[in-house]
Amino acid sequence: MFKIRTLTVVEKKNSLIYHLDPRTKLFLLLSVGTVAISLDEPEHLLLVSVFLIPAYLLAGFELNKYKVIVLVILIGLWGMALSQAMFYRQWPRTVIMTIIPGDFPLLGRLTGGLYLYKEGLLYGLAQGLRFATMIASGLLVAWTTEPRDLLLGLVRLKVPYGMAFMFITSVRFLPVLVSELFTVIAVQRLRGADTVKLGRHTLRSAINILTPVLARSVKRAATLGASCESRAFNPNLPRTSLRELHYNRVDVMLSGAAVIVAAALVVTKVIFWLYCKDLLYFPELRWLYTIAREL
Amino acid sequence: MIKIENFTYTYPGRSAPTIKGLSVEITGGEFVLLTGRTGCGKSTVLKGINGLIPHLAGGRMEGKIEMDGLDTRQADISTLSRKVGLIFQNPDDQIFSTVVQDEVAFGPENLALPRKMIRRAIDKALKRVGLDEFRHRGTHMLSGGEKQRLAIASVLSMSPEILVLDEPLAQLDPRGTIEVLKTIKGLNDNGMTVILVEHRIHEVAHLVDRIMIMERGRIVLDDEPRKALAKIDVFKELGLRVPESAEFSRAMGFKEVALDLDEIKKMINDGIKPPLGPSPGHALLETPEKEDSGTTALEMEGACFRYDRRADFVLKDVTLSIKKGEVVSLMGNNGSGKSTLLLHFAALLKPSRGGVTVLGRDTHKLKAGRLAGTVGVVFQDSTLILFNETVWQEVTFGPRMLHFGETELKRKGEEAMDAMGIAGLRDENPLSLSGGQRLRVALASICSMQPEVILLDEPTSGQDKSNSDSMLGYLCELAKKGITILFTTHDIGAAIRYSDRLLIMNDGKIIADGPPRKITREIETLKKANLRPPLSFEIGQVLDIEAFCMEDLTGRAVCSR
Repeated sequence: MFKIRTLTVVEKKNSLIYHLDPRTKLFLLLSVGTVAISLDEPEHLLLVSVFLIPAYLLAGFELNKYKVIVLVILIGLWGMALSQAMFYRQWPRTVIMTIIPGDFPLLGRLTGGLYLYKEGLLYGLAQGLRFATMIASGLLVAWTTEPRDLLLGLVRLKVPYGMAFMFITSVRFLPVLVSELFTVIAVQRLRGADTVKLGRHTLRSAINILTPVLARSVKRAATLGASCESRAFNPNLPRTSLRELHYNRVDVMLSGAAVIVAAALVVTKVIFWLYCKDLLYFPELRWLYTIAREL
Repeated sequence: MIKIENFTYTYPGRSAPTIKGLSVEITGGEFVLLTGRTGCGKSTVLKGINGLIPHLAGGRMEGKIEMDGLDTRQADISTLSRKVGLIFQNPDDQIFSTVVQDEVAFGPENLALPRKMIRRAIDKALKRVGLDEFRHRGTHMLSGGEKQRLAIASVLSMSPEILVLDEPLAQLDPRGTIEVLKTIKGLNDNGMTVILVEHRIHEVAHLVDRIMIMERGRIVLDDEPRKALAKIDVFKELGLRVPESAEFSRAMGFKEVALDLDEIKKMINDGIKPPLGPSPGHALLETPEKEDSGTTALEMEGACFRYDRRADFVLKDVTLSIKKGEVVSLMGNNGSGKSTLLLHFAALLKPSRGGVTVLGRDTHKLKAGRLAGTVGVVFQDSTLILFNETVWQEVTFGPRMLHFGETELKRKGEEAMDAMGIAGLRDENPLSLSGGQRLRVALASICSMQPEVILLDEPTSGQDKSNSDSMLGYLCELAKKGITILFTTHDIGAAIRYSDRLLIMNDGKIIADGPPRKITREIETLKKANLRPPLSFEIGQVLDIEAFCMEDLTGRAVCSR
């Protein structure tokens, strides 16, 4: 629980990923997200995820960060694949395992049988891989970019300063919030509260835990707000910046490639969708329809 | 010059004004200490000077605040921020950048200064607070004192003429306090006007030009330190801490109040012979030996702990045994391992090596929840402890969870509330109370469970003296009933007065363990942990007698422990 703060630390290593302009990283992030949403097949999504591995290795993070990302991905994959495999409601569906047979006394009759379906498993895996890809790329950007650079990157991309500042600040304090959450749970356990037991008191327990955390956050936000405002902060007025961003040739090439790949995929999917809906058909694009069908 | 004329302010949603017709003038270059009980309106005055009131706080303001003729109501916040810099109590709540220079650059960037000027402003500000070597360091790597100095630098970069600070020492350890006070005094010596809101009057009285005391939105005392401190009764009446030098001066009948040890030495050398009770060299007032209860409540055997496998050990081979019914204080700088040690005794942390036993139970095999009702913990930030809608629900939450009968629950709840002096707050929402009241509610909510061990993390920090005294006094009463108390503190006076035993930690190790008075004599050990003995001890050394509190010194009475 106390290692959470280490997750906020941006490491400074001498490798390409740290030297990229934050705008490039944001373009890459956006492109990976777009690709992940556009693809449907688990094997293609797996391929996109695999592309992130060299970037992670290149980053040379401390072990704690690798542990966290692996854990998050595994939990996401397992949760989504299992839940979709069990509760898949579409047809056709193929049973690959029986958990509770339909003729099992009481439970079988109550549930109508509980099975794992192949189609559900593949659908869940696709969802899980989508989630994993987005989380992994998001954390990669967060762990290799100083918040101030990210803020500046967002502003240079025409995101309103107030909104960008709010986003970066809330991300910055997120680990503090999680750490406080654990403290509150520990304190309440020492006062006899069962904070993990599910049942009719679950909602009450959740409120009990969240109340002090939110109260502390509101207090912190008020102080931070007053501190910023007393330092002439006004999101609507022009401001300058100490930092300079350098968008060099490597940045241009990487951003361009990422945006082109993502845009090409989206265009392909749109064209295919128009064809499937009988809205638009170009015979000379048959090769594209063939590719799109596989994606 | 700051000119406040008939300033009255009512917060939004309140009917009664927090500040009532306050008028005062502060000359440029003055160093003013503004003090008073919690909730008396000190921070509101600072916000008025800074322009947050009325520009951003809403509410209703009457009267006028002017700085060199500039009316705070007419000037915009940006203009005012170049006149007045505002610093808050907790640096962690105001620093949001991850790198030191970025935090300092924030103000000049908001003023749209060119990059060259921003760099110059950063250089100057960091140099003024002694952090010029830390420019590229991560803010998370700074100590408490360094963070507060960074907060100061982040407003200095806007070149204000006035610095207002709202309890900047409350969260700091002795080393941090010295660093920050040195910085503030340095700025004042260079002509900056400083208005400091602080409860720790004894730490700053000798540095300031003027002391103002507020009570219920009005100034009740405003004088230069010597004259203000001569009116000790006003301080005592309001439950404020009186510097020992002032108490000593009064007890000795000095013509004027001495502000620090050097002045006391000078007066003594000038021939004022103090009519003291004990004769010189008399071995005075040892802590009465506590009857050994025989039972060990808390034990640590060669305990080592680190938060991360690659990190340094925070606890290093700590061996310790605390008997049932003992009151033990724990001192040391931030980061010395005090809180980590405390959390081990609540089974919230388990040692990486060695063992910890709580009431005979090995914590390796124990989940924190299993100690519910047996061990109570009060954290420094009481906001994280409180979650019920009323004080009564808060105080009786633990007994209810532990299935106390209705009659016993009621009795325990009322007993704890009476003891903490919060019976009148029964139906209030705990989170709407002042810091001192919140802490007392938190403590009452632990005491109502009748735990066998109570662990407190800096219960005296940010509290006025009357609050600290009543709380620690109550804990001593509990100890007489066999409850074991372990508290961390930065206040050596409180440790001497209220604990049977003092532990001093430095760099993860216990470097001193024994009766507080015995430890206080070990000046070299104290120095290792950046601690100083109380002023009465130092005065005693000048007079060649042993004294650990003012009562010892004047021979009037023995300290309570």
